[in-house]
Amino acid sequence: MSNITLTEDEKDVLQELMNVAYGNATAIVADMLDAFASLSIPNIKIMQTAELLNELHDLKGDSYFFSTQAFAGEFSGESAFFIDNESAQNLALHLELETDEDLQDAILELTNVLTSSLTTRLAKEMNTEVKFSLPSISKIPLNEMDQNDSFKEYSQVIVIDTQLNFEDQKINGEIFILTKDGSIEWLKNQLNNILEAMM
Amino acid sequence: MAEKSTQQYLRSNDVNEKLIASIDNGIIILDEELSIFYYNKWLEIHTQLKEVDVLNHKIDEVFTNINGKTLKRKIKTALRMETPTFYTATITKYLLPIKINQLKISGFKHMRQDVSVIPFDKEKRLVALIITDQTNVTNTNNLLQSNIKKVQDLNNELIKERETIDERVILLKIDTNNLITQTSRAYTDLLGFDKESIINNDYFYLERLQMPVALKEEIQKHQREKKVLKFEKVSLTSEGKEICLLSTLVPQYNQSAQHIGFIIFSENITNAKLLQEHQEKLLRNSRASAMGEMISMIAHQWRQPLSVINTIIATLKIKKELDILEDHLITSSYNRIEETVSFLSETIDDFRNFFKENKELKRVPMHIIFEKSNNLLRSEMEIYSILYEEDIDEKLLITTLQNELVQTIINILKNSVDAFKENPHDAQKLTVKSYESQTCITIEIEDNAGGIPKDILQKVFEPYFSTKSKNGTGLGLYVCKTIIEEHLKGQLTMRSRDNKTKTIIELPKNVVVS
Amino acid sequence: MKYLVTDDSKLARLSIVKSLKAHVGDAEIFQAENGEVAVALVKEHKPDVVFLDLTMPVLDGYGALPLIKECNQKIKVIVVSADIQEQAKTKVMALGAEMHIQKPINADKMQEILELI
Ligand SMILES: Nc1ncnc2c1ncn2[C@@H]1O[C@H](COP(=O)(O)OP(=O)(O)OP(=O)(O)O)[C@@H](O)[C@H]1O
Ligand SMILES: [Mg+2]
Ligand SMILES: [Mg+2]
Repeated sequence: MSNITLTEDEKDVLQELMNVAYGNATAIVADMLDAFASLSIPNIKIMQTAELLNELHDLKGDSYFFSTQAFAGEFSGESAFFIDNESAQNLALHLELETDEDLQDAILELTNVLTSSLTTRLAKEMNTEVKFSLPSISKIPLNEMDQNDSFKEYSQVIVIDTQLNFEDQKINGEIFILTKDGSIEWLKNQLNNILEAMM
Repeated sequence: MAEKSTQQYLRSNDVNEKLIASIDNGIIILDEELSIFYYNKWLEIHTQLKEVDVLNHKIDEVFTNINGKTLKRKIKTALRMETPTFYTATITKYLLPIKINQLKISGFKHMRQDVSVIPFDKEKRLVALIITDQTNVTNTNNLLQSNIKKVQDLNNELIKERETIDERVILLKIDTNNLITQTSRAYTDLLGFDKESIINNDYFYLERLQMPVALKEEIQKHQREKKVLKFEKVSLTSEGKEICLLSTLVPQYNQSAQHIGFIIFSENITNAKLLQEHQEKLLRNSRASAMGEMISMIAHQWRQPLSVINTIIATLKIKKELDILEDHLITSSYNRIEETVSFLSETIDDFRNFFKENKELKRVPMHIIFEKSNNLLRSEMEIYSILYEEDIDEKLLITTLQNELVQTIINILKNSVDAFKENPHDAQKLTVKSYESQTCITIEIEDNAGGIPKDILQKVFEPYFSTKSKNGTGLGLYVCKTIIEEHLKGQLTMRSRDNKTKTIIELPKNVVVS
Repeated sequence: MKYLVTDDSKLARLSIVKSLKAHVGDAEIFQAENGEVAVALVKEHKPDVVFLDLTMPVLDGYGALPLIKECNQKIKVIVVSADIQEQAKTKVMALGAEMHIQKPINADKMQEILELI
């Protein structure tokens, strides 16, 4: 397939929609964790899957919890959430979790909350609706990342990358929203509609 | 219209109620404080609790395994987000402890469950818990996982094995046009070439400088006939070092039995070759020295009979001149000369036999072996007054390589004689003995010529070790050891105590000579 | 009345400007894409009302807010942010913001805001 790119304006719109959606999601997570998160500007890129894998390699820490949740609809794709080992332990500490199972459950919940509130809101801003599947989790050392099948079906991905950052609790995570080729077209179209409505 | 009325009927009858009652999921409605507001039929059946008995009770009190704090958090979050939160079977295993009675699922005691916490009524702060049985899926998953693990393990082993083969086996593959298609690391490492420079080259072109024409023809003949061929060949490394390879040419076929080329496995026999050459050289040397030694022994041996002949002839001469030569003296002299000459030629025959390359096993009486060994030493023993005692049953037979065994015994006896010369005394004695057991024949040779100090005894079998400054090559015992242990598959040991030295040869009765 | 709209997102600025124009017609409206530009424009044009985003590059809303108030205590700063955490609100109010409004802004919301100030 031909390479799709986003114009500056399209990027700006997506970034702002994401900012709004993410603000919403963070507030919910902050409520859930009873903590305060600092927000950062979401980073938006369209890249080849191979590039994404490289990017993921550069993430700090050696062992990550990695969870994904698929969403379907006009806007469909997968959201992935990475949290490093230290952050995961801090999360366990903060929530007074005792077993590994409880911790993994909490990470899944965090993923679910982040990605479903984020994506729901993003979808709403774009006048559509999405449905979610059950999230799944795996703990993978980053060097095995390439073998992870989750990314294989995406030839080109739009990556919306945001930091989750609870400074006091030292919990950091990174959220990626990956959408498939068809959805990127749809998304571009939608972003332009929004932009036109403003002009 | 029929359709309309059905739709109305469905709407008036509580569809939801009916479906929910028969649906294959557990459904519970809870408030934020975990009080149960609804409990469907499925749950009644599976938990064996009636709805009436659990209504208005807190779920974490009915099922004490439930972590109330976590559940409350999930409920609160679902209501806040207006989208579901979840428990997954892979991690949490189950929310409600439902015992499994099916036998076929051996792995788990309790039903594995996925649970969705769905916001049900935002105003009343109610959520619905939808419980799905995931036991089969989880079980299949687990099976799959463990099989994947097994396959991975096997795969790893295979990869490792292939690596070792690549590392250890000197291997070359050529196609039907003799182009090299594959080389193992062992091959490239040994010869010091890199793979790229070899692959796709013609095998015979690559070997053109190091392959004798005859060998090339032999290989090509076997290729035409698609037969296995073993051959020895010297190859040159990139640094010009010679390496001796023992190679096997094996035709190679693909899965559909089509001939696709040949594999050439090789073994590096450079070291073995060197050792073999070295040994052969040593043996040659020792033979040469033995020959010299024996010539001197023959000289000893002949001195006496020759002087006998001389004396007879001198006597005959004198008597002839004095003209007192009588006929009968001529006859008796003639007979004695004949006797003596035949003794001389016998000695020469022994000598010749000894140097014949005779690798045939022969069955001979043991005392004959000693007779032949002594022939050459007897006179020396007499001169140095060494008492020789032999205790060998006349009927004792041995199947052996006669010359080799004789050579060994001569060497040993000669060492004793040498030791007496070095250390003479009044009661010089050499004793030999031979006897058989069920499986082997033993020869013992003992002298009292002073013995061997311990530190020297350790080294006597080493090649070139000698304490004899002038005449010794130091190969004698080394050759004996090689003959006895390698050619005759026996054992040679030496012991020394007080002033005595005892050499013991043990030979197997069933000899298979290499 | 002079207005300054500060947001790194063009879309966000457009939506504020659009709903603002619906109410105040052809009032003077300046735009800034980060905190630093905003402070410079405040000094130059002395606006009466500043709409201020929080997450921005170069200088964010938390950094710009005290600088703007320093220039002129009377400037009314309205924080327009996606960050709706209670703590974010308290923080900006303590720094002297007039109010904290959740993004995005539409004409109705703008009406309420303008009425309140
Ligand atoms: N019967 C023995 N008594 C004392 N020393 C012995 C006896 N047999 C061998 N040795 C010692 O072992 C050494 C090695 O013997 P070997 O037959 O190998 O060599 P060599 O006799 O010195 O030389 P060569 O056999 O070539 O004449 C001798 O030099 C001698 O010191
Ligand atoms: Mg010797
Ligand atoms: Mg911003």
